Amino acid sequence: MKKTALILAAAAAVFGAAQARAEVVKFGIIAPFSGPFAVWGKQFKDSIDAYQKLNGKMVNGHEIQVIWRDEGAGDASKSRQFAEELILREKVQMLGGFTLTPDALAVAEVITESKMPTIILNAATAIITRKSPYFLRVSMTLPQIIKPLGEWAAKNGIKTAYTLASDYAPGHDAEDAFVKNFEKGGGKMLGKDRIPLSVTDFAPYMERVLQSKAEALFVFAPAGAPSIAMVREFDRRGLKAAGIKLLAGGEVQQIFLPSFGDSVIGTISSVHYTESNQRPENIAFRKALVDQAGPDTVPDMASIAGWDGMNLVYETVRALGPRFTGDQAIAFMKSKTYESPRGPIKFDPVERDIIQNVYIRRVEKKDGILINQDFTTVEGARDPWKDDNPNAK
Amino acid sequence: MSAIPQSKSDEPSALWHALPWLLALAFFFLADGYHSLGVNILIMILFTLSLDLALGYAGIITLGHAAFFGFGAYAAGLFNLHVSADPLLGLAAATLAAAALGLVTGALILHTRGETLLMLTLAIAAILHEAANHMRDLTGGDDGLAGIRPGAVFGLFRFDLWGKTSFLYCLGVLFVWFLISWRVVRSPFGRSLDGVRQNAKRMRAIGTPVWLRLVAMYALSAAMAGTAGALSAQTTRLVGLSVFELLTSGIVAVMLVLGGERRLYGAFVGATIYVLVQDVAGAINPFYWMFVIGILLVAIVLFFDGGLMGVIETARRKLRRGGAPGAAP
Repeated sequence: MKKTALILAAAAAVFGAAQARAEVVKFGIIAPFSGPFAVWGKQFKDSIDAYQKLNGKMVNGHEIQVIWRDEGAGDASKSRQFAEELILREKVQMLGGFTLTPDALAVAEVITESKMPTIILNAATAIITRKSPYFLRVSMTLPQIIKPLGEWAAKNGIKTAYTLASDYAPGHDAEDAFVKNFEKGGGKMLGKDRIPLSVTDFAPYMERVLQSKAEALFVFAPAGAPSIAMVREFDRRGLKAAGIKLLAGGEVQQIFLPSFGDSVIGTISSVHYTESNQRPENIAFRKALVDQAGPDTVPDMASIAGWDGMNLVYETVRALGPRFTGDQAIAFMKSKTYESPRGPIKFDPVERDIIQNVYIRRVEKKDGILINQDFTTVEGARDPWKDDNPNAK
Repeated sequence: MSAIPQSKSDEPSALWHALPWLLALAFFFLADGYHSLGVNILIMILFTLSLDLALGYAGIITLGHAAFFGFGAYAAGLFNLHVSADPLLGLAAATLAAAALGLVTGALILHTRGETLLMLTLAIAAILHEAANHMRDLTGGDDGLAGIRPGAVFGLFRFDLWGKTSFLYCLGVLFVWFLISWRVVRSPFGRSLDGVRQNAKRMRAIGTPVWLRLVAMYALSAAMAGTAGALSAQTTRLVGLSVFELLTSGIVAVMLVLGGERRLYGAFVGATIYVLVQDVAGAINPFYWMFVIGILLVAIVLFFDGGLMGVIETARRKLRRGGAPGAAP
C-alpha cells in the first residue's frame, strides 16, 4: 500500500512538474531585410529587440522566441512560402510582419486554414483584415490617417488641391480618402495623378502640379527611397517657392527629415504616431530604443508597430499561457486596450483593425533638429473605409 | 567542349539515372513538413532545365527567361479563375500560351546574336512586367493575382496545405518534361543545335536552317518555363509581379551555372543546392543570407569548371577507371 502511494506521489510530482515546465512560444516575423524596403525590417527588429531587452524574454516562465524571415524585395509568393514554413516546420504560434499589402494578402489563405493569429505590422490597405478572421492590425489604414488631413485642408482655407499617389492599392486608398474628404469640405481638386511604382523621376509630375496653380499638393509614396525622392523634387522644381503647400502622410516622418534640409519646414502631415510626443510611454520607448540600437536611433511607424505588436504577444501569453488556439488569441488581442507610446489604442472587435488617435503635425526646427510638432489631434479614429464599404470582401 | 558523351562506355549506368528520382521519392516519405520546400525545388529544377535547353544547348544568350515563367504563371492563374479549376487543363493551357509567346518572340529576335539578343530578351520581360502592372483589372497589378484555387488532380487528389499532393504533382510533371528534354538533346535536332552553338556560320553552310531550329528550341524551352510558372501559380495560389523581374531571370541563370550547363542533371543539382542553401542560410541568419549565396557562386564559377555537375562527373569517371586520370575528351 505504502509503495503504491509513493509511486502515485512520484507520478503526481512528475506530472505536476511537466505541467509547469517552461515552454517556448515562437513568434514568426516576415519582413524585408534586403532590397528597397530593408529599412522596415531593421526598424521592426530594433524595436522588438528593445522590447525584449527591457521586458526580458520570459513571460511567467515561458520564453518568447522571435523567428525572422527576410522576404526581400516584396515578393508575395515568398511571403506565403515563409508563412507555411514557419507554421509547419518552426511550429510558431503567432505570425507577424508584412510591410507591403501584397505580402499580407498572400498569407490570408494559409493563416485561415491553420487558424494562425497574425499581427500586421504595416501593410495599410484597408481591406486586408477582411481577408482572414485571423488578421489583426497594429499599424493603421491609409483612409484612417488621411481622412483627417483632407478635412483639415478644406477647413483651413485651402481651396484647390492636386494629388500625386503611387499606382497600387495603398496609393488608391490614400488618394480616395484625401479627395473625398477635401471635396466634402468644399475644396476643389485640380488634378489626381497616379505614378507607377517603378518611376523614380518625379520632375514631370511636379511640373504638372506647378502648371495647375493648385494651392496644395497631397503626396503618397511607399515610405523609403521613393517617398524621399518625391518630397525632394517638390522643393527642387520650385513648388515650395511658388507657395504651394505640401501635405503628406508617412513621407515626412522624423527619420526622413534630415534628407530634405530646411526646405521641408512647414509641411503638414497626418499620421498616427508623432515621434517627439512627450507621453511617458513614448519617453520610455525612445529610451529603450536608444539602449538597444544606439543614440542616433529615431523611431518611426515601423518601430511603433513592432513595439505594440510585441506587447500584444507578451500580453497574450501572460493571459492565456503558452498554449492557445488561434481563436482564443484573436479574441483576447482584439479586446485589448492600452496606452501605447503613440497614445491610447484599442481594436475594432468586428474588423480587427486598430482604433487610435491621428495627429496633424507641422515640420518645425527645434534646438537645431527638424521635428514634427502636433497641433491637432483626432481622437479615437476608426478606419473610415470599412464604414463606407460594409460589405466589400 | 561537347555535351555529347564520347563513347557508350562513358554513359552513366541506369542506377545513376534512377538516383535523382529515388531521392525525390525518399524525400516525399521522409521529409514531413518540408514538402513545400520540395515543391519549390522541383519547380526551380524545371525552370532551370528549360533555360538549359535554350542557353546551354542552343547557346541562346538570354536574361529574360522570366518572361515565359511569368506568362505561364499568369496564364494558369487566369485560366483557373475564369475557365476551369482543373489543374492539368490549366497546366496545358499555360504551357501552350508560353510556347506561343516563345514562338512569336523567338521568331522576332533570334536573327540577332550576342549583346543585341541579350537586350531584346531583357526588353521582352520588361514589357510583360509593365503590361501586367497596367492591366490591373486582369492581373491585380502590384497587389498580385489572388484567389487561385486549383481543383483536385484527376478529380481525386486534393491540394493540401502540407504540399504532399503538390510535391507528387510537380515531380510527375518534371519527369515528363525531363524525358522530353532527354530525347530532344539526343535527337539529330538537338545535335544540330549543338553545332549551331559552336559555329552557326558553318552549320548554315552545310545547309542547316539555323534560325528555324533556334526558334523551335526557344519555343520548346519557353513552353517548359511556362509549365514551371504554372506549377508555381497552382501551388502557391498566387502570382505577383515579381515573376517578371530581372531577378527571377538572374536567379535561374545562377542555378544553371551552379549546377553546370548542358548536362540536364546540372539543373537538378544547381536548383536544389540554391534553394536549400537559401533556405538554410535564411533560417540561420535572415539578414545576411544573400552574402552566402554570392560567395558560393563566386567559388563555383572560379574553381569548378562545368559547375557542381562537372565535379560529380569527374569523380564518377575517376571511380570507374580506378583512379586513372580521365582520358582527354
